[in-house]
Amino acid sequence: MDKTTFEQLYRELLPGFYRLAQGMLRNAADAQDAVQQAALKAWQAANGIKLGGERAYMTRIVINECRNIQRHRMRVIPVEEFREEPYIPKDRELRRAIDGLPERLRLPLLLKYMEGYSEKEAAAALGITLPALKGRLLRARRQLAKELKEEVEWI
Amino acid sequence: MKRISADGLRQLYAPVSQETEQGVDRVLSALPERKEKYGMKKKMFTVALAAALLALTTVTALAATNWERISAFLGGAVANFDVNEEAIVAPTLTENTSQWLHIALEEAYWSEEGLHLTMHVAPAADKQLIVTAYEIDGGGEEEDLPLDEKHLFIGDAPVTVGEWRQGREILTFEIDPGCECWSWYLRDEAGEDIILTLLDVDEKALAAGTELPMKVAVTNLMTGDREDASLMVSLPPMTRQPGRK
Repeated sequence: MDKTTFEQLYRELLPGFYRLAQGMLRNAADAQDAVQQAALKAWQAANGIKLGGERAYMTRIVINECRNIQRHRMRVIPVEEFREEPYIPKDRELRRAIDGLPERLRLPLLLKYMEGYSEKEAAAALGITLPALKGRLLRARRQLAKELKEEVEWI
Repeated sequence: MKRISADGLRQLYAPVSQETEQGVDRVLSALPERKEKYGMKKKMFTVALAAALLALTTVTALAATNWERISAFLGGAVANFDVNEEAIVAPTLTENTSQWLHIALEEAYWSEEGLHLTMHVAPAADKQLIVTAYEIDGGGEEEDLPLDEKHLFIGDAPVTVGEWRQGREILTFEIDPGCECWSWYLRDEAGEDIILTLLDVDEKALAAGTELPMKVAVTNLMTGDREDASLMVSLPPMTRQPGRK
């Protein structure tokens, strides 16, 4: 992949990567660090990207970068802290419920339902098998409905 | 009944700020040319892979002298570690109850990120092939197609399962090390190379040398039969190394 194509692709995918990073890190500043660092690492690894698998591969790098930030900062951000973020979502109850899901359930949900990844692509991005992804999605949907105290229709 | 759409979910998170865009622009506009060092590491990796294939039945012996797998992966651009090759050890598989899979452990390395294990997985029977489930588009747009019409993403271009398997059976598998982990899968003609990074490790046990039990779930996609097996990984004493640069 040449540099121009890479830049164009990364810019195109940036909004989704940034949302995903916020979903993982619950903090806009950390999310910004993650997408910046991931841009460089994705470029350095661009030779290994399979045709058609660019988004999953880059997503994987963004996720790893978020995990790296989580580990290095050695802190767990409580759900309540997101209220201090300057961005106030309209549906705060839903955001709180999603933030309350464990990461292993939250990420599959966000990749599939927010970013529109196919299950295969989401599994590749997360480095898990498709059955594992399906299981996590099922648990995520159930847990979210329980938190929201009502059935959810995904449209 | 609450209705949740993709747009609704997207609005839960802040849009890309100008500051973020500018930061990414700065990174993108200053992207370095790819270093030759990385290319060389990739070549070394290919050589290591070929060597592993030639000596598939004696991978344990190979592992004692061939540390390129960890070095190439962790030291490569994605992980970007300073790998201390002297700290790579040879794990041994003291138990594998699977009748369906040959599993060979290759290398182990303990860093600040976790315990990294590389292993090679191949089907035990000639008439079988393995895929990791994510290589088949079982979800999304191909969910309702018969298996042989679904596409596999294992090469430069997708092929249908039917074209690829040519009458052989397909096994898919999942290895569960019993803790949070992430994994990379690298395919070769004989099977899959897996790099597992176990994130929750018992530091005292690793330092002293330990055994790690793992579970393997294997499914025959043609028959739906499933095998639940267990592995026992034995590790010599290890020393934790730095993580990413």
